[in-house]
Amino acid sequence: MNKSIYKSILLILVIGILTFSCTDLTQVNPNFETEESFWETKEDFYQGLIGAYDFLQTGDMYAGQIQHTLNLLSDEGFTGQLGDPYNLATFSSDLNNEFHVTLWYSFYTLIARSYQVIERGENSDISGIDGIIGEAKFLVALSYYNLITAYGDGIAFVDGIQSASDKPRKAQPGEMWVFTETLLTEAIMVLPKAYSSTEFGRITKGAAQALLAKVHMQQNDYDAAELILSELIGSGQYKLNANYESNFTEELTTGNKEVIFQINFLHNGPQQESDYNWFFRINSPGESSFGIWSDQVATNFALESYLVETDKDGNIDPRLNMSLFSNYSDKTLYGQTWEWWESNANIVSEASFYKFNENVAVLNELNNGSGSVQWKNGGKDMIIIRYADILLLYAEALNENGKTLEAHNYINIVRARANMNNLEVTAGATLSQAELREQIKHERLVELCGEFIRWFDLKRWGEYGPQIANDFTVPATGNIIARDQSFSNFRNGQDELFPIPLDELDLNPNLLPQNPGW
Amino acid sequence: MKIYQKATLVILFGMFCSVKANAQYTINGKVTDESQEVLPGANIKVKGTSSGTATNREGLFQLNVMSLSDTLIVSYLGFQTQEIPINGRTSIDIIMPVSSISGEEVVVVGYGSQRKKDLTGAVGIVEMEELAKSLSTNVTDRLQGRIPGVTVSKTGEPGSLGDITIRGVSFFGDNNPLFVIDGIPTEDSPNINPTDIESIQILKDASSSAIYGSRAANGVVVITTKKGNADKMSVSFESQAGIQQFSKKLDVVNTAEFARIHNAAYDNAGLPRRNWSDDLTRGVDTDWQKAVFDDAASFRENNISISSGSEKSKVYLNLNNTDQNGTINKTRFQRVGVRLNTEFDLNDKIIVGQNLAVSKTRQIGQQYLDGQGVIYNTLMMFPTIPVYDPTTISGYGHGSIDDAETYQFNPVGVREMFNSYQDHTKIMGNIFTDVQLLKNLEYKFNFGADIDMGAARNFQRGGQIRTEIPHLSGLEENSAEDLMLVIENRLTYSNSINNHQFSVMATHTEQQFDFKQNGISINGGFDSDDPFFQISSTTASPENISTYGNQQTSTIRSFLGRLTYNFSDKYLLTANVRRDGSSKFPEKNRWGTFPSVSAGWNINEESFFNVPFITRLKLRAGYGVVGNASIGNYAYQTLIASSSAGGTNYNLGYGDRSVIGAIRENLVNDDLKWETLKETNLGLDLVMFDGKLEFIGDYYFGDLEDLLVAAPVPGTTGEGIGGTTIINVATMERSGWEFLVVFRELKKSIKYDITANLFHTENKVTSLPLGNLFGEYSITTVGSPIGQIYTLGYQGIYKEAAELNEYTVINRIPYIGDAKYQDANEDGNISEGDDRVIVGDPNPDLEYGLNLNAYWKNFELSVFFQGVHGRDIFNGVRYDMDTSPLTTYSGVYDPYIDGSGSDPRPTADFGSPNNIASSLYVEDGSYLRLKNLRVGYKVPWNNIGELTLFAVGQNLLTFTGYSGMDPEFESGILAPGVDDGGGFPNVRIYNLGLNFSF
Repeated sequence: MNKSIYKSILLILVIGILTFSCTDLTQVNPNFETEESFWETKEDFYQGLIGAYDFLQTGDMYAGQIQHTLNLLSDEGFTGQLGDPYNLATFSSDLNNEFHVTLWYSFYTLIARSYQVIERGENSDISGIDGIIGEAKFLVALSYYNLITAYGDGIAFVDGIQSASDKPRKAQPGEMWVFTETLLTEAIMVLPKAYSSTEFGRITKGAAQALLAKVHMQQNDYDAAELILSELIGSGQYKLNANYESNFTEELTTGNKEVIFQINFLHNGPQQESDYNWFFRINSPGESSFGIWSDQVATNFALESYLVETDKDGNIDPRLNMSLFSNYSDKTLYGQTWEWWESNANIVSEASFYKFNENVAVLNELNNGSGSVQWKNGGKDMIIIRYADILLLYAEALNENGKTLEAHNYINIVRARANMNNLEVTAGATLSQAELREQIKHERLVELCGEFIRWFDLKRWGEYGPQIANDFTVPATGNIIARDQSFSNFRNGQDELFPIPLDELDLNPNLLPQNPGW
Repeated sequence: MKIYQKATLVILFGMFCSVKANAQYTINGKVTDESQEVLPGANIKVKGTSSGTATNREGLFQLNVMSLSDTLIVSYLGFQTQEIPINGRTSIDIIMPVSSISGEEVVVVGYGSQRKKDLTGAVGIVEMEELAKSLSTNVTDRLQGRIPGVTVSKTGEPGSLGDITIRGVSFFGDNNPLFVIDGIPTEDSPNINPTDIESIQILKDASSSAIYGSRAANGVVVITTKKGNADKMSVSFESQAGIQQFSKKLDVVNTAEFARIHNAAYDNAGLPRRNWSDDLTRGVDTDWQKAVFDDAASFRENNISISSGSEKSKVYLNLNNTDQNGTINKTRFQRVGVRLNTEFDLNDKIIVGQNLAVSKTRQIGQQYLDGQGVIYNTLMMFPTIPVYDPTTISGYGHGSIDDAETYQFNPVGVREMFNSYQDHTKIMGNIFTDVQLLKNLEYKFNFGADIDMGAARNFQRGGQIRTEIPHLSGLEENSAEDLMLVIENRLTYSNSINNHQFSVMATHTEQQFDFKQNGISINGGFDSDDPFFQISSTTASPENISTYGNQQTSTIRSFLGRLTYNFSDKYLLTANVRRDGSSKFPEKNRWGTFPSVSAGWNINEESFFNVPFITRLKLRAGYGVVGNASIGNYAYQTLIASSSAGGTNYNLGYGDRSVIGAIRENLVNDDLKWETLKETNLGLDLVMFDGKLEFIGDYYFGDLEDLLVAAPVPGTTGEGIGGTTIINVATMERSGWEFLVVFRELKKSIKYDITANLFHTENKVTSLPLGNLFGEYSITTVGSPIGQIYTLGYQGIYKEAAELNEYTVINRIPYIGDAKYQDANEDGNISEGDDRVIVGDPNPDLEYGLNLNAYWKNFELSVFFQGVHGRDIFNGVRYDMDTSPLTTYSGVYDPYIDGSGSDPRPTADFGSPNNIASSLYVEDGSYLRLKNLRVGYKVPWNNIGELTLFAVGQNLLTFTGYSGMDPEFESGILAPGVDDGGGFPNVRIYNLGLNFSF
């Protein structure tokens, strides 16, 4: 009896102590790599860079929010959607307008992802990552280009990886432009001219040059802009497509020499990507029965601008058909003609944007499914900088630098591709510097409409204000077109800049004061 | 050893007697209380047998026994159970002492137990009989209002578990206490059958909870399940059924009133009216609450328990099933559970035993869409929209931009097109052994496991049930497994030398938590009307399918000890220390030490003390340091997330080539450590008039340090909108008082007891180095408790033209009827950035519970009230309704239209200052609620068994000035005062039941 008691005691003790007194207090997350083991190879840096690129295709960025924001703020776009979009387009936003808020967070996120690559790369002795660092610098510069234009140059100065407690200072006037130029200059030195066919879509030297030119232009520094633009044009790396439309057809990436920088969406990718991605990219001139609405529509001014002259053959400017869906379209929108839309939808505007619309994907779904759109299988690429834009910028720089005659030539290159007469033919004479300045405003609209460039243009021209509500005269033809009436609400002293998001000011008082008027 | 011999003798004697058949003796007697009042219905049993009886109306009994050496066990509610050896007598008068005054009850305090009168900390002892009257299906909800200092916030959703906070919300992350069930610590709220619970003790203060160290700062709830009854076999069967309904319908406008306001809103904004508001000839006037709510949802619960045992073995077996339908159709909670607890004395030195509970639950849930529940949509939907509309794609009424622009889902459509359920199979159990190693040295070994296998499924038919936006068909399946193992080795040495009693306990324990889950979802791509199908490669094309999964492990290793010392029952001392190592923290901060000490003085034991009406008087004082860790596993590790298409990736190349990318997953702090609470507790226990009046009071104060805060970080960190990082930065003070008073009258023919508890908790943030924390309409700032309501100050509407230029919202010209706000910084302009002020405090001044039990003859009545006083609520539902043209309006909204009305003008202009959150929506959230009313009748069937019939009502009456659906709601920690309408209001229940035991 006694023996068995002690045996069982012993047994219990042995079980008790041995069972699992070996729990390990060091546990490593089995689901992820950790920072300690990362950033050690060239491949790691490449993946980090792709991580930064990845953000470009999110819904808060080029998959929707940016073009939505920029279109509504320009004189070519408007909205049929009440609330924040309407308030943005009519300059009646309050501090909480989501479009004002989102842009800040999105571009600073892109900056943060990029600095993971830049800062770790510059402190690393791994060879062969200079180009990768250069690409990341371009992404930072692209972010600042947008942020300065939106929020002014008193934004947060970020030039490295941020920790939780970092509260970056407010940049001095002009400082952000200089910093952006520096980043691009450094990038230009290390970026390749082109990539292999499997790496197509990465940032090239030409892209950095183009962005640097835009940075100079935006500061009205036409001398510096002219220099770099002539270098870019002279490189012969880029040329116009023979066909204007082919820039905007599905997945035309192969051999498109006109593209300088674009966002490469995954065509027919997984639902959670393409779903989000084209949320704002299925616009119509009015609400329809199958669940497509009119978040972004084109203004009448945009439409009228195409109608001031015909092409060489006496037809309507062929660019209209690709740029805007309207009464003049021979195309269909989601399988329906303009006549159908007019009689079946509540038309908000006489035209809607067409270039980057997910027309084909939507149509496929309507044909396949329940008769309503299900937000998937999109993924049309989106061009951010193309050669025609560069040619027109060069013309603008030349004109501003007093080389008006020479400027005509570059405008004519762009016009010729669209089967339009030379400017001199249309106008009956060469235009003066002042006339050409106005004509370029028109030329840029009809060439680049719906490419969310216009807002930058208006800012550069010093036109971003209530005067946009006034009529516009096209110098070459003498047409007078009513411009965007929503600008009549423009609050001078306030709407020039977005407000810095309230939460950001709460967390980082270094950014005070708030932008004027807010 | 002696006891053992005696018991053996009794058993042997009993066996001998039974051989000598029919040799019976009759015993007569009377049972009274100490004041000679008779006690009818007192139970008398013969120890070790199944024979017994009960007293009649005169308190008399007669009982046959086999031997005059037997022992009688006499029990009566509210009195101490007595063991009376017959000692050869045939006539025995028994006097029952009131139970509450003895203090001999043993209370489980974690890694051991103490006599109630030896307690030195603040330990709340739950009256299980009261808890058993509640109709809540889980134990956490039943605790509401029962123990001072314990707050339960809960909803009426079937199967949901209420959140318990002990002594207020003190942490920015996890505020749930640690639950310890039969020695197994578990961090989740326990979803165990309340019927199985023998006792619950709540360790409230740091000096008593410190034995649980790093996880104790939110208090510890120690639950012990039932053991078998050593005396005789008993079977108890309880069954009840009833109906439930929401206790309130929210007052919202009908179509006529809606149209009046809605039209004015569009007129005021200069926008065209919406067709269905402008033209009411369609005659639609939908009462959405009527369409969605079920006023007679059924509730059923059955329990059968068998308890049996002998001197050497005890067995408890329970079988339970619960079936509760929700007051929204298609929500439901079902549970089937079984428990088996056994204990065996192998010999006089070794006890082995086991507890095992297996249950299966299914919670059919409130379906969520875009984060909004059915209830929110029900409240917000326009009355101009019909429930069903055959002209729409899916047949459910919804608006369009021109007719009725609202983006709420048709809630009936949600209910009928969306389905989700969650199953859990839970196995919780332990095996243990107690070994008497030496005379005073006991070894205990405990090995426990808690396994939870979960499976969830959500599915929906594709279609369209709201303005403009169709939804996809979808299906998601998820399975998860939680496995927790714990091992414990405990040595306890106890001895008494003269008047010095002491014990020393030392324990080693380790715990490991493993979690894994995986899931698959399909979004779109199938048209089937029948949602019941399996995921397979033929159901959907690959680009619509996504899968996910992860696994986690965490571990804790601990060493702990306790010393108790008792001198003559006068002076008491308890000291605890625990050292915990946790895998949640980086190596440099991995180990923490948590000490505590407390002392008590039983003044009534002193010879100088001679106050006749004071039966017991004890002073207590304690101090302790305890920890908390409201963070996930691996929180200190910076992770790199990389994935291909569908996640972090980018498309490169002429073809479509998804390239894998990598990003920093989280912004972490690699210096994370424990949060700590350092608390002093002072207590007083007082029993007067031989137990008629009992008082327990506690006062406490202390500091919370190194609080983990999910601190918002600037957007410049790259964390995006609402990005945060967790960091040990904040400090807080906490103090409060709580008391419990019991008054008992057990000596009259109507017997009753009244228990009242009242408490106040005060938390104040003392340091927030990273700046204020913001929740929905709320701010947490230094000098105030967590989550003050923070909006513009509303000052009525502009009534006269002369007032119009007093203050203006920047760039807005006010009109008569517009909202006027306080210019807090007196700069002449109103803006949300500069002029928000604290407009309400959601922390109650007082919380209380009041319970009455009364017994008269065979009737028993129990009434339980619970309430809070002095607390503000931001009525987010009313705010959403009355400030947007995209939702309906509340019935209390009286907008300024055509020269009359006292609330701000309606406007469809989203930028209008009238639509800004302000103190207009802050309401008094005090309430008093009749939580439970129960009437029972004990059928006089004394010789066969006991049958009680009862009727119970829950949440029958609510007294409150709050205009929302329910002043009780669950909320976010940083916005505790904001009722955002996402929750499921508490329900009223009417039940009938019976309890039969023999």
